[in-house]
Amino acid sequence: MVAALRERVRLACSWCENAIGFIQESRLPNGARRVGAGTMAFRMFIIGLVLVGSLAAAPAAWAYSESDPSANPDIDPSDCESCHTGTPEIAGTEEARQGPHANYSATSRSCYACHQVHQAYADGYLLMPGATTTETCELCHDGTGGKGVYGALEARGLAVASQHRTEVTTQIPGGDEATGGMATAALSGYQGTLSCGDCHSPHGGGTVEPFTTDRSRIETDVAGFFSNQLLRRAPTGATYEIGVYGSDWCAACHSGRASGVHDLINHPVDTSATVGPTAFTYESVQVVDGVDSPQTVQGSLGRSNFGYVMPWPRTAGQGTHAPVCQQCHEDGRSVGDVASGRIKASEVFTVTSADGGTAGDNPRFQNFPHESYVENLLIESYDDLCSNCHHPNQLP
Amino acid sequence: MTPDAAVTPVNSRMRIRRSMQILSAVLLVVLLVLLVLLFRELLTGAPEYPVSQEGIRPLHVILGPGVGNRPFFDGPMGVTFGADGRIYVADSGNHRVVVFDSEGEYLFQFGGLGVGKPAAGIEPSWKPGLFNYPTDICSDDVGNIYVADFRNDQIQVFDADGDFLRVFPDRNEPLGRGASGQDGAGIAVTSLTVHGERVYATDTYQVAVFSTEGELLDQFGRPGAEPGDLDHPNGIAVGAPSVVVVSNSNRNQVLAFAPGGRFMWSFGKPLGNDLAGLSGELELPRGLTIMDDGTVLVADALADSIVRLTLAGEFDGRFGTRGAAPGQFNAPMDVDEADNRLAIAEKGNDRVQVIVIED
Repeated sequence: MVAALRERVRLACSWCENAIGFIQESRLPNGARRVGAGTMAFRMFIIGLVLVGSLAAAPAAWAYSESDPSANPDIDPSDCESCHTGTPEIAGTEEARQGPHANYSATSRSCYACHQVHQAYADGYLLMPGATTTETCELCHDGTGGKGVYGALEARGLAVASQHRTEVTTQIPGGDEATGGMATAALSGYQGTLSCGDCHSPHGGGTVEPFTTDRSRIETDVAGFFSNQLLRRAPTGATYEIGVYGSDWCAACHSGRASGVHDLINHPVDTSATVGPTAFTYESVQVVDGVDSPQTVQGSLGRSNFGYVMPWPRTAGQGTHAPVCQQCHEDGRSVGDVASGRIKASEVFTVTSADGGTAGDNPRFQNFPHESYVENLLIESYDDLCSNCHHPNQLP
Repeated sequence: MTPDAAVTPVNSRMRIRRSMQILSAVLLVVLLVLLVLLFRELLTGAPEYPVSQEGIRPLHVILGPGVGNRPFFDGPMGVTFGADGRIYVADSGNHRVVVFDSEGEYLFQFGGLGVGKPAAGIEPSWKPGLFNYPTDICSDDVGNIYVADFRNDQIQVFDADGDFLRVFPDRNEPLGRGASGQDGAGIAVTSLTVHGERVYATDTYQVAVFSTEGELLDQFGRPGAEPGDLDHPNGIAVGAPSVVVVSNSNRNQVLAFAPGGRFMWSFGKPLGNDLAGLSGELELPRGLTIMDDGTVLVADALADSIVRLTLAGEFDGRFGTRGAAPGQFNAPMDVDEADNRLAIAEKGNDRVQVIVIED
């Protein structure tokens, strides 16, 4: 409300300044009129018309009555696609419906759940009820509803070691492809900061292929839970589209962290740029086939801990493939003890509570990459991480 | 050239100039009137909205206490009438409870942020009477107030004047056969209600039943997608004869259970891959209440309206449209009823309204 009033005052002042400035310019220094009285009157008429028109139109926009659609016969508020047909945000409906996010049809009214065509809030963003994208998202995604809780650890006072904090930063670690350092980006949030919408498509359009997610929560009992997490094929700033979630997706923003594509030396990862179409991805990577097993099969990283270790010696399936980013960067969990690198019986995937918030859960918390209790959004810390793949007996 | 012919163009220009001057004067007068109206609106802070919404008669719009360093609500998610008609608001974003009289006049507030389960090695900042994101509030027959202290995994009880009485369950101990509290202890309570001597509370996937003193009496519900399964319930009410009605928010349903948790009926279409989109039946049911005649009122947050159901689970009306005018709603999260007056907490409009449904 305060922001709305402030904006109205700013607009009114701006109009007055413009009008006064225009009148002053029409006078010579000696006070004589620069133009004829008729022309001056005409200019006054135009100024008045603009000012009155602006003021008359502004309240109409602020207080448009949807009870009288005939007042705007060219727009059908219930038919968003009459205007937005073909835009990537609206057209993509191939995925399973996720709340109001996707599968828009002639009989649905999901658009209206978040946008208001008329009489929208003066401090709302994109005709949404919230002043920012994040604020709008958190109408539902505040821990009490929706999925993909953001900020749950922090809100509960728990230690947050790393996170993708929204509406705070314009910096992308490793975003500078030339140096591997920090890059400044023009993101979609308030004042160019990172926002939910930079990674997620709230309309379900232009999203990556669904993958097996760890986001169990209430789907713990639902077999084969797949989701695209509404992840964009082209996160903000990406210069290309990524259809499959994996290293390529991370590198769209953190391009300085990719390997083999420039002079920087980074830990190798499988990307389409370095390996081509056979590059491993989150959904298709070598995973061990059981507890304490040295054998691997092709599978998903999701819903098991078997993809977070690499047996030594490497298996034929692993070949010369490097890991994908998510094999080191995911929800914190305990996998692969230092001595063997294999998965122990005590380290199997266990989620007993919503959001993995129970201390005995493995992984604990399901908030990656929103926030993590582990530094740098890693699954483990120190040598415990490295030894998952680089076992001491293989080292020189 | 006749004299008339010489004069006519001059007269014409004079007429045009005079017309322009008159028009300019008129426009300036209109402009001044509009500016006066605009500044009057800015100064009074009371925009003139339409006051009549179909089927709804707005009585009060409450934006916050209007005093102190937080004069406005921040995303209120719960509201209840006290035994004496007072209006108690769970001001979630401000971690407090704000109390008004039956006419919406501010009385007092209590609470503030207190973290009950911080990281290891950090002292809890919670003390009795502090909250961490209170999501719901209700009162019992004698006027005691029960607050869903969501992120502290507990329920706090106060007398009508906001004096702390008790807290339950133990936020650091497992609850019965398990609940969604942090570290598997306590209950991340999203909504609650008192019926007789029992307190009914929801967490992420179940219903827990306590005595008003805090003893765990029963638990039912399970996560999943089967009929009767729960997925982020955010509203609960109990009607005669002890029918427990629950908003199953993430699946767009209202469910009813018999005593002991036997599933009875559901209203609304659950989310699923076979649906074309939001059906319009229920879009995000949150808080609900049951009237004396058995009618169920549900705050449908994404549809910005109040849905009325019979106690048999049949649709009986929808009231309200999206907007910021009195009688309109933006993300209504909770509804309570007393003497046919409804109090509605709107997270999107950062306000509470008191209305009457007339139909």
